[in-house]
Amino acid sequence: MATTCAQVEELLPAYEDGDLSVEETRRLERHLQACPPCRQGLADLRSSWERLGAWKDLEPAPAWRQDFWRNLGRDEERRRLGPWRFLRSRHWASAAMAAVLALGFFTGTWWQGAPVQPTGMAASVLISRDLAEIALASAEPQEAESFLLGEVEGPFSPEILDEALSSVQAP
Amino acid sequence: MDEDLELIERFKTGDKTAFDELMQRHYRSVLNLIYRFTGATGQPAEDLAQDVFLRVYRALPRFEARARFFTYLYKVTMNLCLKERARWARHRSRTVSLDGNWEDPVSPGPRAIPDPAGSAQDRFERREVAGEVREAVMELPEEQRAAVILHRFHHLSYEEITEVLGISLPAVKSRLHRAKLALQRRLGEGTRESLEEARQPEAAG
Ligand SMILES: [Zn+2]
Repeated sequence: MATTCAQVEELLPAYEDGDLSVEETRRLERHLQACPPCRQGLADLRSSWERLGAWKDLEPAPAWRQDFWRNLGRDEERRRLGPWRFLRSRHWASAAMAAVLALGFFTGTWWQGAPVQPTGMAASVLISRDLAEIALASAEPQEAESFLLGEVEGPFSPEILDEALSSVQAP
Repeated sequence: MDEDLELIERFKTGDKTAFDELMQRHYRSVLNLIYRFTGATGQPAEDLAQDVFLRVYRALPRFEARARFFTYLYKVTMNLCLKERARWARHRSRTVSLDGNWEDPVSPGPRAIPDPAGSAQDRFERREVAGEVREAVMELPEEQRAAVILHRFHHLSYEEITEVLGISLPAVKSRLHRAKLALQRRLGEGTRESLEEARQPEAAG
C-alpha cells in the first residue's frame, strides 16, 4: 500500500506516541527517509509543541492565602445566616430597614416610629416593606429565631430582641 | 501514602493548617489552569481559583482517596470554568461591552510573569512568541484545548487526563493528536504552503 504525505502527516502524532503497529511504523519511517517535507513536518510537530512553553504562568495575587481564609470566613457566615444573609450585605441601610420592618412584623406592632427605637436608625427606615416581606417569606423559623436572638448583628437593643422573640415563641 | 493524602487526613481531623499547606501546593496550578483554559486573568481568575478551593474545603471531609487528589482538584476546576464561562457569556451578551478579562488571547495578562532581563528586542520577540502561542492554543476547540493544557502545562499523563475530563483513553489521544497537528500548522517553522509545494504527491512506501 502506498503511503501519501497526507496520510503520513495524520499519523505523525501517533507515531510520536509509539502507537503505530510495527508495520505502520516501518512504512512511515521509510517514507520519512525519502521525503524531506514530511521530515520537516515531524520536526515542526515537535518544535511547535516545545514552543508552547513560551506561554508563561500567571503569578498568583500576593495576598491569595489571606483572601482565601477571609472568603472562607464570609462563606461560613453566610451559611450560618441562611436566608438572612442579605442583611449583612454592603447595603447596610436597606438591610437594616428590612430588619426593623421584619421585627415589627414579628411583634405585631408594625413600625410606627414609637416603641422600637434602635439607635442610628433614621426616618429613612420607612419604605422597605417589600424587602422585609421577602426576608420573612424565605426564613425558616429557626433562622428567624437566631436572627432575633442576636446571633446576627443588628442595631437592636437586647430588650427589643427579647420582646420580638417572645412574640415568636408564644403566638 | 502521598503527601496530599496525608494532608487531607490531617485536615479531616480538624487541622486547618493542613488545608493551607494543600492549597500552597496547588493554588498556582489551579490559577494557571483557569488562566489558560478560559483566558481569564487578574481578579476574575483569582475569584475562580478561590471558589475552587472553597468548594474543595467543603467537600474534602467526604473525599475518598480513590483517585489522586490533583485529578479531583483539576476536575473541580474544569467544571467551575465551564460553569463560569457560561455565566460570563450570558453576562457579556447582555451587556455587549467586553471587560477584556475573558478569552482575550492577544493582550498579555496583567500579572503575567515579567520576562527575565534581556535586550528590549529580545523581550519584544519573546512576548511576540508568547502571544502567538497563546492565540494558537486559544483557537483550539475547547475539548482539545483542555487536553493540551493538562498535558503540556500540567504534565498530566494520558491516564490522568481521562480521570480529569471523564473521557476514554482513545478520546484523550485523538484530541491531543488533532491538537498537535493544528498547532504544527499554526506554529511550525515551515509554512503550510511551502510544504505543500515541496511535497511529492505520493512517495514510495
Ligand atoms: Zn511526505
